[in-house]
Amino acid sequence: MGKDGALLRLADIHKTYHHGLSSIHALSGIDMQVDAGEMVAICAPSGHGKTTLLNLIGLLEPATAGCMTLDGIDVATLGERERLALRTRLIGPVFQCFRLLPVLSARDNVVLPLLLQRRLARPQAAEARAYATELLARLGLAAQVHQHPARLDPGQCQRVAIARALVTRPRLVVADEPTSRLDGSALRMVLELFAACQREQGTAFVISTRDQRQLYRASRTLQLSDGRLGQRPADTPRRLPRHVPPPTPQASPAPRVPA
Amino acid sequence: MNLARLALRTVLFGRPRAWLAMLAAALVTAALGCGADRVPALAILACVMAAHTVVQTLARRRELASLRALGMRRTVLVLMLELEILWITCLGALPGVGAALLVSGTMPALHEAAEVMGAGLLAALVPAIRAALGDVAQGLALLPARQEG
Repeated sequence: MGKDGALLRLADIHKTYHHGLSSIHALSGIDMQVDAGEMVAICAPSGHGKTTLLNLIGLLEPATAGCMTLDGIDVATLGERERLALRTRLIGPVFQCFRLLPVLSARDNVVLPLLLQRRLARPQAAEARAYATELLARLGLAAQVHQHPARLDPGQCQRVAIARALVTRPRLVVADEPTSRLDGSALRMVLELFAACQREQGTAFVISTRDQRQLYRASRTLQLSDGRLGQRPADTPRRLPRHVPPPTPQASPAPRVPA
Repeated sequence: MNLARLALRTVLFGRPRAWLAMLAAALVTAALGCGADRVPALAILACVMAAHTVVQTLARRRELASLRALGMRRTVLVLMLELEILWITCLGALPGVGAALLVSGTMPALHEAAEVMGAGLLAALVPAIRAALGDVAQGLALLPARQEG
């Protein structure tokens, strides 16, 4: 972690793509900081640099200019291997289109990052499978553990992708619209799991979302517009009321049927 | 779950299917067992395996990019693609040996089966390395042809 407690710090980050003679400035002068245990939501319309920013934070592509530190390490100084090592050690990605492997079951998809990171010595494999099963159960997928992605609906696939991101116990989860396909009960389970990770492991979340239900839970909401980041006006309450009484159906007298 | 099992599952259940490449391995093994010329037979097999790997890596760009994003190293990705080819040639060589026995009554020598595998592995090496060198963010940005689920 950085000296000031920041897990992630971006200072004057620029990203430019070159297509032939033309250049596209996807990000211009991004400054942001994410502390451990914090959930930062990024709001932006399509094409305003949201995915590019998440790719930079997720160490999937380098910035054109600027300084980015993750866990106190300046990532610009790292080579390909060091970046990969840092990414796999610290970051759990949730991709927008889930990207599950079709030939693996839900549980094997969740265990996959551990296999790829060679963190699965034989005695630990059973433990990892048990943890993956537990994560899936906490997301309401206990009955779908052995199902393949083709047999799951998009909401279930999204929850498997979330479990896959959390199985490595990452310090930072970078998620691109992780709740876009979830209904109310699934969303509640996901947000409860996120909150548990924040509380118990100090996991930080950087999430791009347009889902108002998730914005309520974010510690901060940032607005990305034309590649520039700004604080979103406090137009929404920070949290949902803790006890929202469920709507009670109004009892109406049964219509009398004439005999 | 390990890399060899993942490769086997991809060969058996993944898309695009690998039946054509398996058939080529079977035919070439059978032809070698029946005394066909080695060089043209292996050259045909190498072309089929190279084409198969190119098609596989193009069709699975998103999948390979997500594997890289989840922490797979480039060398491991090449190894996985090569393991897939090894499984294809192994699974193809078995019926090829049977066919050679039926047709000519002679069993293909062990080194002939090894040559089939070697030709396949060598032919797939360049496309596999090209796939491993691909850009992860670009691969992830590709829209899925068909949504999972």
